[in-house]
Amino acid sequence: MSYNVLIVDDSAVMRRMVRRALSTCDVPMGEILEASNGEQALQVLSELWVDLVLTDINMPHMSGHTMLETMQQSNELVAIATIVVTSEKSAESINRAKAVGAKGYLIKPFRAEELRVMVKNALESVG
Amino acid sequence: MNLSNLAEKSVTAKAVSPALLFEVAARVFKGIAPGSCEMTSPEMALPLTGWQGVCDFRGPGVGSVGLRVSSGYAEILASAMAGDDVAANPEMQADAVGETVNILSSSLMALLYGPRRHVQIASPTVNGSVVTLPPSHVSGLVTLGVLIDSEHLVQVWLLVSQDSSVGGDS
Repeated sequence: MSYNVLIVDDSAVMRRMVRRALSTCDVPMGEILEASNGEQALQVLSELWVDLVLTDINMPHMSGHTMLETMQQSNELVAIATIVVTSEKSAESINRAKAVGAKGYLIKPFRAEELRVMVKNALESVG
Repeated sequence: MNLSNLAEKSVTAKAVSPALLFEVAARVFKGIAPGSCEMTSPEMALPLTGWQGVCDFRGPGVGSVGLRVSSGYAEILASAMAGDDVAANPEMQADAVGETVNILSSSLMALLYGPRRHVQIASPTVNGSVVTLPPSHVSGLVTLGVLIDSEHLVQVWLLVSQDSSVGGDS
């Protein structure tokens, strides 16, 4: 079984950084999809099967928090594993992510190893 | 959850010295692209080609965080984040500088105001024109130079124009 992953970040450089880290994960990866804000991400999620979403918080049009809260309220999307990857380190942001069931909160700049461990744990937790 | 960074002790804006700004900046630069960092004068001349990235912030304080980097160091940042194959691309370099100043801003806000105060950090603005540093006599301004690997100069500044905090989170 391979896993489809959606990377959500308004920075193309950061999307590539996450994609590179994912490519070295020892879990089978299927399609790696990208979106540059929460709104685009929800559009992708409405069209394609995704197992894991890695999202930034501060993005134009729709923030990561709003996207995660929308996913939480959707019967179709609530079961998707989510990890936040952001430079935002306030307790408020961390608590908001925890409240909607994020499996991890990774602060930039991150080491690829940290992301790999978090991704593996998140995917194992959803089977 | 990675909560290790929240253990940072908050300080007032007035207590941010060049040495403390250097410590935070060096940690961010090394976290992105490992290399040695030395503090230097902010007035050292940068090459004419390069990038400037600025993030404005608003919350208990109002101000901005800025970076000026040479094209050479922007390429190193882009390479570390996105890979060697795209590091020479100017759009990737600008994006990497924007991400770097955003990460630096978040680290400084956690230091200044603590993890429990909300600070809104605007999306970074990045441009490639040669812009002079804010004048050094401006109140609330801390500037410094960082020499990376004895080769690449980065100018960093923190400007706090209003600060209603009394020491941040306790």
